[in-house]
Amino acid sequence: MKALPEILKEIRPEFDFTVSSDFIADGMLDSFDLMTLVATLDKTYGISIQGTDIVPENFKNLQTIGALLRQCGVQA
Amino acid sequence: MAPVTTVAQVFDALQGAKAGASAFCTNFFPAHAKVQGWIDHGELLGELRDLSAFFLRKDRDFWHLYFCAANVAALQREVSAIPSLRTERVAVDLVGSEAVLGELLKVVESAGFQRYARLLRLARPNQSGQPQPSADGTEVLCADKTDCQAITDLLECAFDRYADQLPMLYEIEAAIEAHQILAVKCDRALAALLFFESQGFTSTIRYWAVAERFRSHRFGSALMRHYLAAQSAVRRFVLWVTADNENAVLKYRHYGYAPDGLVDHVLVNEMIRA
Amino acid sequence: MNFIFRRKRITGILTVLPANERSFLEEMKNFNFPEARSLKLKEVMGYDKRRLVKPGVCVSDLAVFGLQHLFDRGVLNRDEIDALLLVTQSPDHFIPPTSNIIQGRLGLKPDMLCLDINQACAGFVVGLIEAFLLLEQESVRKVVLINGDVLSRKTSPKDRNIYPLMGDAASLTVVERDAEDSVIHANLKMDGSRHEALMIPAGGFRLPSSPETAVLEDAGDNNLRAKDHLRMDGSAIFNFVQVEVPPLIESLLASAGASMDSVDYFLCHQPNRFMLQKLADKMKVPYAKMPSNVVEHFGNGGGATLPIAITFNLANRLRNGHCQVCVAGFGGGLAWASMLMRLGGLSCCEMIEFP
Repeated sequence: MKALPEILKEIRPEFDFTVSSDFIADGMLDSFDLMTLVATLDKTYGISIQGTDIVPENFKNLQTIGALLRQCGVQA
Repeated sequence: MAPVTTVAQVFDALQGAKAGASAFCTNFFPAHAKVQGWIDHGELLGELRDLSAFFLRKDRDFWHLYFCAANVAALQREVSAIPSLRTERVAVDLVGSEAVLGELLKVVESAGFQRYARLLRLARPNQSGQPQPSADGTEVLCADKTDCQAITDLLECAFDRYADQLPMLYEIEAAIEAHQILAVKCDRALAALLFFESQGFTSTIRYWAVAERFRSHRFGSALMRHYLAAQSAVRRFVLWVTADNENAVLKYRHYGYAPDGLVDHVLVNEMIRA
Repeated sequence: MNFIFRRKRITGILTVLPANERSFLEEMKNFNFPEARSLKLKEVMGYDKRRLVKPGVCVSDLAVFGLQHLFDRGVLNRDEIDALLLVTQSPDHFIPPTSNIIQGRLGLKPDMLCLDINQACAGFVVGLIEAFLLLEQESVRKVVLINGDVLSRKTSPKDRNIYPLMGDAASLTVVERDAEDSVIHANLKMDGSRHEALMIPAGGFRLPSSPETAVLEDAGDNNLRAKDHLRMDGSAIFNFVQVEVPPLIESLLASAGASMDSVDYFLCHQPNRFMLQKLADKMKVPYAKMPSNVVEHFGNGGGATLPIAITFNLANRLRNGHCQVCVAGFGGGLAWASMLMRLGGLSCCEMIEFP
């Protein structure tokens, strides 16, 4: 199963997601990237992230995304 | 192969094979709603392989094979390595113009399949001056739920299960609910049917059949006239017909249908031929 | 806000799509984004083809074409239209109302109401509410509700957030009294404090159009748009729909004493496939009951997408039978509205093309 930084890199190959603490503020993910990311996470982990959880705060950095995945039952 | 559980898996597989492909080839043109129906009924298996993806869809006592590959070489290499294609009863459709299908046919034949049937796609633009419904008093109805078994029986009698991809019972039920099966009844039996799918500007006749004992009553004509007259907003009518069924081709030509260049080669494996 | 309407029904729906079709794959070259990124978005959102009017075509053109078709087919008689409601955000002119222009072009009777309603994607439901209210009057027996927009002309080709999804379309819905003792439930909410989530900043009186408002600016997200162009805060709109629409529909069903299972179809405004599937997941509605296939064929044509979802997917079924449907529109304003009704036995339910 792909690691989270790898998934992010596939969406925005030009960025290094291990060095930022705020992907949104740093312009690394826009609202459409979030939807692409959610669709990929849903497929990769066999989950369905709730539409109401698709807010910038949940996708700020690897920690917040990890927390969201754990909330969805993923053993991250 | 493993059961497919989401529609997204299918479209991701197609996208994956297409991305950066030099000569993408596929026989799979899935519609979301249809794929969802197959998944809901546990009818779809899938397998991702190198530069390709393969799917098997259950149909009664055999399977339909669908594939997508980045190029023909990948298809040739991977299709030969799928064990179920030798142990299960499998049919495969190759759709396209004759000119482009040559190479694909060779690859599929080398994987143990033989040609079984060839279908032509016929199309008819919607013209002004639509045929009028018959004036001979034949009553054309929408089929209802009580007709399901009779519809299944007539389809299995009139069509070829491998070449014509007969509908499952749940598809027939859904089509009845959507008022997409027209029927003529006689002596309280189902005498003839016309099963179509219309969406937006296109309408496809899936099956048009008259039970043998009711031929020469002009029930088929009544159904076709009713169908064409009722689809006033449709811009394009299409259907598939077995190429060597000259009788059927002539009948469709009479209503303005003509080949549009697309063919469907149906091949079957040894397990079906045995 | 809740509504109950008795003895009212829809008797016909016609949708008008421009014949001119464009594809996402062709237009991708204009965006400042790598192809791979655009292709991923295409797959997630369900972008593929959309329909656009040719230069110079306006909403009244689509509306007149549609009405003439209804007259020619014998579905409607021009003298029996007592009210013409036009829901649009792209009028032919600021003045006069475009509904009056349509009236004039078709020679409709003077003894009628013509009303323009500026509403976005909740506009089909809002328009129906207005139509049903009018039918309470003795003098109003037949209302034609038109939802139409040509907003593709107000989007920047360099704005990947909005350009590839916009389509142009119109719908015409005939609404009358019902001889049967039918009941229709509806509800709606509005929140003007979030009006900036979907707007065209310039062109009105707050900021009139000028050479400056036509200049393309980088909004900071690699998209270029002018103040004259439609802009959308994608995150805000997405979140608004996910948060507000499920409780709205839940409340509607509760008022009507109806269960989710009793509804045959949830027919929603069609922003994109991803949003609708997330909505369906939240409401635990199977995807087959909530069609999400309009954007991929026709683009997002604003208020008309909901009736397009009906004519594209259910034409045959609604001409020959009936369904229990929940319709829901949501979008600019912000506004969100839903309605529960028995729909069917339509004398017309079809799509036509505007050449």
